[in-house]
Amino acid sequence: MNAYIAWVLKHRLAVIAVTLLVTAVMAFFSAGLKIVIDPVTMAPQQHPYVQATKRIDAAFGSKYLMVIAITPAQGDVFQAPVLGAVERITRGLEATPGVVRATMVSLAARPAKGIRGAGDAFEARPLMDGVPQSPAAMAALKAALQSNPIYLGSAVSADFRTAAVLVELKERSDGFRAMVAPVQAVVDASAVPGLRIALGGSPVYMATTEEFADRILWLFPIALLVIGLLHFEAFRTVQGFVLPLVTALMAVLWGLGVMGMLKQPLDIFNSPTPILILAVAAGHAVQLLKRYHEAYAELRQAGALTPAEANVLAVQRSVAAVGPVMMIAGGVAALGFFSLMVFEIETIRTFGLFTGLGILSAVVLEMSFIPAVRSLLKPPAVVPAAARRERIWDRLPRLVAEAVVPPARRARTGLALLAFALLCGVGITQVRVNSDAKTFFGRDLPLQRDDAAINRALGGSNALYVMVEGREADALKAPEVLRAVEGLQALALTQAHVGKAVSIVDILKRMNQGMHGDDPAAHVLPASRELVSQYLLLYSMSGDPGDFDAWIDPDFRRLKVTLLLKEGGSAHVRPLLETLQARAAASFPPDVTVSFGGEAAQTIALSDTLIKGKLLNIAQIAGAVFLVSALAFRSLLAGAVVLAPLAYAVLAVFGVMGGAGIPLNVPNSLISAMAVGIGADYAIYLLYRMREIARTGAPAEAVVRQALQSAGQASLYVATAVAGGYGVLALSIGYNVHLWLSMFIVIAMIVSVTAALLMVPAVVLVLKPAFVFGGRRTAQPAVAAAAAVLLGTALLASLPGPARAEDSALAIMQRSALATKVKDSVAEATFTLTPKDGTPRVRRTESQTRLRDGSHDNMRRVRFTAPADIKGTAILLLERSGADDDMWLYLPALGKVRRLAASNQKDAFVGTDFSYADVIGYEPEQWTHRLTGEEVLNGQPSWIIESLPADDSVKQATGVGRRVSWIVKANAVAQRVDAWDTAMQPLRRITASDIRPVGTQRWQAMRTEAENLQTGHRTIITFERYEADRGVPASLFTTKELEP
Amino acid sequence: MNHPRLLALLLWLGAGVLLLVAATADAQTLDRTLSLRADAWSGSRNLDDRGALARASAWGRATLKFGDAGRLLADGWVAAETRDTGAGHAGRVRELNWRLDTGPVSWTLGRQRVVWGRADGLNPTDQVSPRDFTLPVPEDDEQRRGRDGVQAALDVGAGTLSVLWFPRAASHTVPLNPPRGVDIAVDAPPHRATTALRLDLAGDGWDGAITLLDGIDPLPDLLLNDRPGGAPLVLRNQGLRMLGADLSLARDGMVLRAEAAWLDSDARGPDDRRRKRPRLWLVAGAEWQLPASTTVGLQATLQHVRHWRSPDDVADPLQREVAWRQAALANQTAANQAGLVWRLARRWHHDTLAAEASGVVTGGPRSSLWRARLSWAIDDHWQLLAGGDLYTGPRHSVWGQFRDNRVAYVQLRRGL
Repeated sequence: MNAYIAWVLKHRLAVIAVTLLVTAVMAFFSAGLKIVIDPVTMAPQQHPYVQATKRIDAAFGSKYLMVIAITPAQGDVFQAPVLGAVERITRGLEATPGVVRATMVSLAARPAKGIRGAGDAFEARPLMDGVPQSPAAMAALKAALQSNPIYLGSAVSADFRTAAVLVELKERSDGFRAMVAPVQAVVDASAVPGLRIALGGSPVYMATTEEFADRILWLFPIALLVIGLLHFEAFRTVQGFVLPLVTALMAVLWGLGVMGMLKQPLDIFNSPTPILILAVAAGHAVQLLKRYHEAYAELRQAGALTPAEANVLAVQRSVAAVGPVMMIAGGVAALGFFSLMVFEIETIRTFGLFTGLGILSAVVLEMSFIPAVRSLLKPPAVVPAAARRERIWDRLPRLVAEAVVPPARRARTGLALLAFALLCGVGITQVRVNSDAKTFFGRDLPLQRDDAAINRALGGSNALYVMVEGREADALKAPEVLRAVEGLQALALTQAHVGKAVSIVDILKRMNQGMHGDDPAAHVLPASRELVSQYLLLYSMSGDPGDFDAWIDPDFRRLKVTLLLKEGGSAHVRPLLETLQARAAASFPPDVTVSFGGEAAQTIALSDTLIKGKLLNIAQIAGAVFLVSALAFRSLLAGAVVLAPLAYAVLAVFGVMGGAGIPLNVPNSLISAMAVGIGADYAIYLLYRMREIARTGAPAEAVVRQALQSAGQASLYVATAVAGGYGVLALSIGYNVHLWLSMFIVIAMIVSVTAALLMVPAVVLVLKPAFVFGGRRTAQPAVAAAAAVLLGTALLASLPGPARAEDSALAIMQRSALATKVKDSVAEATFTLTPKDGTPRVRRTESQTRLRDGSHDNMRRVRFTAPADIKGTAILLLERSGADDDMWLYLPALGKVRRLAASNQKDAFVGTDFSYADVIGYEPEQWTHRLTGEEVLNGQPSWIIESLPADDSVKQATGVGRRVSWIVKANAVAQRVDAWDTAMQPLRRITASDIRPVGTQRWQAMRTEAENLQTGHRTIITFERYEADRGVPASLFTTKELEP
Repeated sequence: MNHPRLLALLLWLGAGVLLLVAATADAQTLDRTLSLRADAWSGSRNLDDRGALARASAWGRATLKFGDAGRLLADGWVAAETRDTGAGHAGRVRELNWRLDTGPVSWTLGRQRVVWGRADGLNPTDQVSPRDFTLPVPEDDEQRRGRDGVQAALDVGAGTLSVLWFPRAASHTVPLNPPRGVDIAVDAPPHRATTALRLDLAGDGWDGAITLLDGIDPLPDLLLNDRPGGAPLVLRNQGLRMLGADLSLARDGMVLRAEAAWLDSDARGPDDRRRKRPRLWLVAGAEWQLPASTTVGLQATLQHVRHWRSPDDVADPLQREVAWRQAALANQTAANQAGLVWRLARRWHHDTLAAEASGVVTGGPRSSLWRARLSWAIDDHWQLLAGGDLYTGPRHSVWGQFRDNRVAYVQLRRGL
């Protein structure tokens, strides 16, 4: 170590220059870091509830429910201003991108129809055909609602005091604020005096979460100042104020830089992470600084050296003394954080990776840059011991020593610690997992009041969906299935917090009642399949075909039951789900599948994963800390001693969490890892210092007292600074996530430093372990640091974490891009273009392709052979990587070849639903890929890869903001690709089938279908003939050859 | 029989022989299209004011391939109009030619359309195939006719070197509005062949051509008839020599187009008003492909006429009037002329609905042409087109002379 630090000091200017250069590079990469708030990253993708939610979303477009409640200051909803607002909001939302129009519920929604008996039949009439203007029209609306209870509790409250618009929003990866903003704009434009309009539902909560998370932008500088001031208070030097912050800021930058290099996005739950890195890095810096101060004072008091000579020597001695232990402590902490990468939830994996990298960066900087800088700075003034006034930092270690050195007091201290542990244990039994976003906020915030008002008046602002699936068309018309759905709904309504249950069953019952002259006794399900069919036929005579889109699919194979819940927390939803699942298992025929999804079910999925992950996480961190500490000190006892204060910190955090009724959720789940990561430092520094003093031959009690005054005092500095830094988050009033973090980190710091200062000396005094007093040369810092680096690398490389997934995902996409690139080809194909509600158009082509020599760029000639109006039209497309493609069009009627601008990759390829980019292929290197899972699709095991544009230019050029590809493992062909547009709205789905081997180890799908998900338009390309590697001549790909 | 006529006959005979040879060849594939059209026009393109007309036509195109023996291409149309709008409006064989590849040389014999120029709308180098500007068709290029001749295209690696020879001259058919009671004679094109040499080249992101041409200008001159006993005015095609170049480049999502030609005539000195003046004509601009299948094109057109003299300098009123008309017809109303060409096009519904607005504004004196067109492919067989042309400017200006040709039309097509 001495040789190393001597080398650093000898080349200090070079070390500083290189470090600054590295920092600049990291700053460059961190500038490209994206803060992505993607709901997908917060949910465990393989969980059955998440999978079911996806299926329901795909079938019915139902995932994120938002409730807009309109309540007049006086009277009921049957007045023009209220119904006018409902009308305006409904129409506005119908025209708003991101809104699922088919499932919208409101008095003015187009599918909202009242059913009433009409002679021997029934008829469906819109509830509102414009805003009712007369008292008679208002009375008719009220009567329609009373006779159609399906709308009570959803479109209108049972007491008619509140009208509502229930709107489901499409998922988008650019955050909930972007999801909610268009809805909010419509509501704001529709507001009139005298009406109270409340917004509720999870999108509102998540959008507010994003908004509040931004507070970190001003909290971070305050935290920085607080930590700096606390260090200044401790050291009373400018160095004490500045250098720890420099280390900390550079460590944050390095961590962000590596994240940027790995193209790993951040999210809202990682926004406080820079403060954590700041605190930990500053902690290490303080230990080194404290030791430097001690060494410098010692050397100066010896009087043999000038201040400059003493300064350099003090730097050398302090690094030699603290460096090894810093590597152990930093390595242990980094390991703890890296271990979070086993979590299934991406946001937690990101947190682990980012923090681990930041801590390792801090250790590297403290071992290189800081000593080099410090040796160039003016040394601090030395205050003679006699002149120094005793400060709180001196008194506290002395008080701790008095509590553990005398045997009698040591026993009392031990008992007190035991009692504290028991107390925490009691609290831990009360810990409840609950990831409900409502708990993130103070109860007095307007959104909480709005949500409460909505839940009082209506069925609820939380949606739980039940999807019932039969195996074949019309399976759900079976009376026994419909009765089972009815029974499930009835059971749900008896459960706590369920305010509304709606499905096609309610509509069928109302139809039956209408058929029987609106006789209440006939409000039962039709008795046979035939009756169901007849009722639907009758309905179609006055209703619209799309009226039931929210409830059942067109072929009666899948239906959806919507349960509106007044509480969305897992504590409430879990028992409900268990009850409903038990009933479903018992009441539905075996060939009918019942699955549960929606936000409420996803919350359970998140909680389930959290519990598993949290237990695993704590055990893992404990194991890593124990192992590395034991190896570093070559003693199992040392491992246990280091672990003990951490156990106390974890006990205290969870004890307080349970005792105070604070839920265990995603943000809080990170706290134990933080506490362990930070807390391990104290015991390690203390043990190391004790061993150092013991080697001077000092008696055990003196060893303890001196170590407490040295490393112990530094630990107090660190704990105070970290607690102070995190205490700043308490300023985030109303946002519990920040308040909890603030409280738990302060608790963890106080408990871990107290436990370390009390327990470590006590154990050392009682057991007099050999690793302190045995005269072994030294601990093995390299073991810890190397273990951290190796394990971190191994985790990055082997776990299904984001970095590794990205690397392999890129490789897969590169393979996929080449999988269909034959040397040349000759083909005949049919393009069938089918509008959603129109007649298909058929185009036939003959085409040739050839790869350019030495490149993957294709030359492509396509000639249309049908229909007559475009027959003979030919296109020549010469791809050019890194430049605009060359493209010419030949129109036979004009007899002219004309160059076209071909760079608009997002444009439709010859009028089909494929874009040019779909046909030419997306450059894998221009996208950030992530392996999100695996699935057997169409009997083919496939990787699921999410691709995001690497930068905005790619996004704009392709018109695609996100792609998810199902890549067949056997041949790397994309058998399905879902694409989202730049506004993150679902845009296109491409499916490839009949994939055959062609040419030399290449593949071609003989049928490819592209569906525009926004218009319903589809294009199917079917190859009647496809031959590869035929030796197509290059001369064919000239403009001359476009002419016949 | 004069020399060019003999050569033309030989060409046709040659094509016939080749057809017979090909008929015996093994691989024969016929590829044909037929388009039946019914149009309604608010007026003709003859500068008359005789009101609306209807027109029914059948347009056919067939390619018969004989494998290595080449291919035969035939293209033509027949039409019936509610009133006769011009000679040759009842039908025309636009193309009938044989193409044969012999190693690096590709031969095309017979009637063929030659369309040159990479600029949009105005093409200074497009001086081979004649057009009938009076024909009521929605597409400009449908007015184009083929010329009888032979073309040999040699593959030279980076491009193609073409030699073209057309034994007979050909003339555009231009709309005329003679003064009341004044007849205009149309001279038969002179017996002079047109020969051209063109080198087409292409590289990454660009393609272009250089062209040399010597022959008869397809755009006739209007002059006082110097032959006794005939009509006082006559349209006559006269000599033309051209050195031209055109280029298109693809860069950053746009296409840059440029085309220039030095067009030399047989004019004998500055005072020769019976022929066009030599001129340098340049058209250059860009075309952008915007999102949502939208295309925007913008070009500048510049022309310098050598030794230009104002027709107002002519003392005789009749000669002055003729000089002005000739200047307008020849697009030589000023020594220097600048203008702007623009085009905005958009496609919807998977290219089944397309709209295009385009125009030209030129100075000296200022006149313009405005065009709009909408086409809707109703299904795979039926197509509906509608559009119109509007000309503005003084009577003796490039576009203003066609003011009476403002027209609106609708056409229904059935493809077979």
